Amino acid sequence: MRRAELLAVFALLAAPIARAQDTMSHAPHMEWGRTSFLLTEVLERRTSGDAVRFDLVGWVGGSSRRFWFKADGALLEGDKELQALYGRMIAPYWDLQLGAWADIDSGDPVDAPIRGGAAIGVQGIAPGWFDVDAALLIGTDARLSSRLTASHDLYVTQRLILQPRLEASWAARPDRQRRMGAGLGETELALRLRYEIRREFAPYLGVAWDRAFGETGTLDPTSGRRQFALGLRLWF
Amino acid sequence: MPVTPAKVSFAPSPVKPSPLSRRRFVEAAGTAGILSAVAPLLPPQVSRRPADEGLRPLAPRPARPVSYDLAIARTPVTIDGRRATGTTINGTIPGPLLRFQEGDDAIIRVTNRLDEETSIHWHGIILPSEMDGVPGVTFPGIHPGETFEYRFPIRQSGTYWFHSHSGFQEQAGHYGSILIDPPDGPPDRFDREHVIVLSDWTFEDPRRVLARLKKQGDYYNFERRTLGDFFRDVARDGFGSTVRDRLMWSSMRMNPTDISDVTGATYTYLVNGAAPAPPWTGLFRPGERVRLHFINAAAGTFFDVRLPGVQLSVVQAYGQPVVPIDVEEFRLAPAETISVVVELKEDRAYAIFAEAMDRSGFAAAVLAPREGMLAEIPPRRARPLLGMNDMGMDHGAMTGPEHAGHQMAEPIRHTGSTHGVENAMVPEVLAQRLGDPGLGLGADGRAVLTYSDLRSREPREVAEPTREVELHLTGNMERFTWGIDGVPFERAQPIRFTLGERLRLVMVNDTMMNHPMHLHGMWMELENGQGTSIPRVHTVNVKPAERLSLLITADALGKWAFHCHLLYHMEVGMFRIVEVVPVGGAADDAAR
Repeated sequence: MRRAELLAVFALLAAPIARAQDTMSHAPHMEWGRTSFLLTEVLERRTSGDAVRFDLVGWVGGSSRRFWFKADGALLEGDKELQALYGRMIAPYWDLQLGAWADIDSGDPVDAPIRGGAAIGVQGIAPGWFDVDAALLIGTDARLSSRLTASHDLYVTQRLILQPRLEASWAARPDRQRRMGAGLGETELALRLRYEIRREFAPYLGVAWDRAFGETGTLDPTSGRRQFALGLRLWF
Repeated sequence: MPVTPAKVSFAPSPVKPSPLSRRRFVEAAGTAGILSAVAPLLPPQVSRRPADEGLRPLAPRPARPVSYDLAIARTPVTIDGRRATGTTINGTIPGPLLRFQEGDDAIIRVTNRLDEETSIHWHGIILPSEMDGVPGVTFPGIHPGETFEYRFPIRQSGTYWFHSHSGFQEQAGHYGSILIDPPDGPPDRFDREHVIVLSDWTFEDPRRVLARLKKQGDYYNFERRTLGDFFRDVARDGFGSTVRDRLMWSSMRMNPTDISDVTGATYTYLVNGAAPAPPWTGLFRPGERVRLHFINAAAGTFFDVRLPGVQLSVVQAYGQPVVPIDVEEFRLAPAETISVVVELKEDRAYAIFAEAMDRSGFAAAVLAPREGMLAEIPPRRARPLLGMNDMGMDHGAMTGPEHAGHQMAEPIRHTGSTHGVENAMVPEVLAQRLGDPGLGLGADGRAVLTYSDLRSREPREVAEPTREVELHLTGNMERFTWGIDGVPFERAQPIRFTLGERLRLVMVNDTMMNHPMHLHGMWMELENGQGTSIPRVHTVNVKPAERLSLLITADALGKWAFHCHLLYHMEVGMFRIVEVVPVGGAADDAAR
């Protein structure tokens, strides 16, 4: 699959999320039929680098079965990772998600082959009110890698919320194209202080430390920075 | 602006207001502090409604057919000084009072002027199934432009109410009151009566409210514990104890401030359609005995009702006469009704004060000898926190401050199913909590009505049940899923009763929220230890981690709704059909 095709497929998959109306069965007292949700947890500009970084997650569906869409990376020309998943509630606070992932590398020509494959993950709330999203990515080249994101909301006041957030990646084998070494790779710890003007609309200030471990560190000379960020957390 | 400064004595709230509630608080300080004094301050288009004279006792008369015409329409309304569109009955919120005498035949023609289906359910009235007014269960609903004629005999007396059973119309104003006099005159001595309909209003589209709850279950909770609360608790209880408390709640992924789904963050609380300023005013003459009929027509609010400084003699509950009991305060769950007799001796205005259970707001009104008089409202109380009893924790080392000292019935371990993924948790232990006045009540020494206090004024033979049905109330706040036995209505089978059988309905609340459960078509007798004075109820609030039981004689053939009366819980599936089938009916179905 080429990059243009992949983008077209994701656009097709994302369209229902963007367009979906919250609907309800006309029969009374039936389960609220379908809801759609789109959250950009991260949408920010950092002190170094021009790119606007983002991390969004969306779903459409009922209470226990949902179609998920996730994307993160840099807006416009930057690198991105996309996931499209079907999720099913397997425990009161947890969804099991199965689907596909793909990387878009800004350095590649438009018709370059896409790196991607199958994704399997769990997403939910761990004891202690930690939002956790962990995924195992299996490449079409049989390479294994994984992603983990965990965050926690700390209420300073009813509307001022401090969110520590940890992101980490891991790879089974080195993947030079994706600038990943074997083992624990890039990690980032960020603290974001947001003010919920409305629940759905919260500007924030953030600070992020990143560190690349092991072999990845030698592949990524910019790791080990501290950056400040100005952003907006949005959902609808 | 002729407000007499000497009379302005608003007591500040002990609640530390959030930014939002601070704004409301300022509004309250400016307006509701002295009810009714503020009319001249309001925008000119807001006219104060005239004071209500109330009702005089009617002389008994021969029974006869009594007819009403009701039109349901989207009409402009003014709520709290703001213009909005409501789903109204004959153009008002609440709709009209329907008055009958026991023995009458009701003929009520309901015309739908909406562009969607509507319906009216006669809450608490015993009637034939096809007149019960639940679309898709007992009749097809009333389609736009259609008129449906309800006809049913009135074979009971007391205070009841009616409301839409379609979509979210009830939240938008589609409710009214019913008063039925006994054929031989009222059993209570009083000079005048007023009907007090409590409700909640949102300027948002109720569909949007539910969509927001589906996306973020605590969307409307602006009373969460914050960092400031943490430091205050450390100072009060010590560091170790505070950290242990926080860890316990967060390890269970439960929130002790999760008391109401929809709060004062969006709700305006109403008495007879009026926000606290300018208030609804009911008239009396000093020295009169006044009977007040309280109806909670709210979609999502429990009200704690007081007339500061006035003893309330509770004479009726769920429309049924009870042995009078004197209290200072009572909690009214959605769909419940309580009637009280008060003696208003002084020539002054009295406030009716109804605080939302989560303390995020209040409804208030005035009883006064003359129009335009002032009544002082009491200070608002701090929001309560859920405690060990609500969580169903085995009483170990930790004891919450909220429930210390309450009499608890013997706890029972929760056994059996955890009800699948759509139920967040099950309590370790369950207890009957009928003597517990409820979250945030009873600790201040006030006499508060409890379910244990209710004694029917008409003792009856209490037959033993031959069968027991146990239902667990379940849900998950994070997904905003609510169901029964972990299953929402759309995936559930009807509950079968056999005509004439005597049942014990056991309800177990596995959630940390209160659920007012309502059975259509048949009385439930609440097993509260009062022997032959067992009270009859149409709605019963099941407290968190509570296990209670009711007796039912399945004497009404047909399909009946059974559901949580929190509108948003019902809409997502905390609903069942109860089907009463003749003896042998079940066998027919099995053969089918």
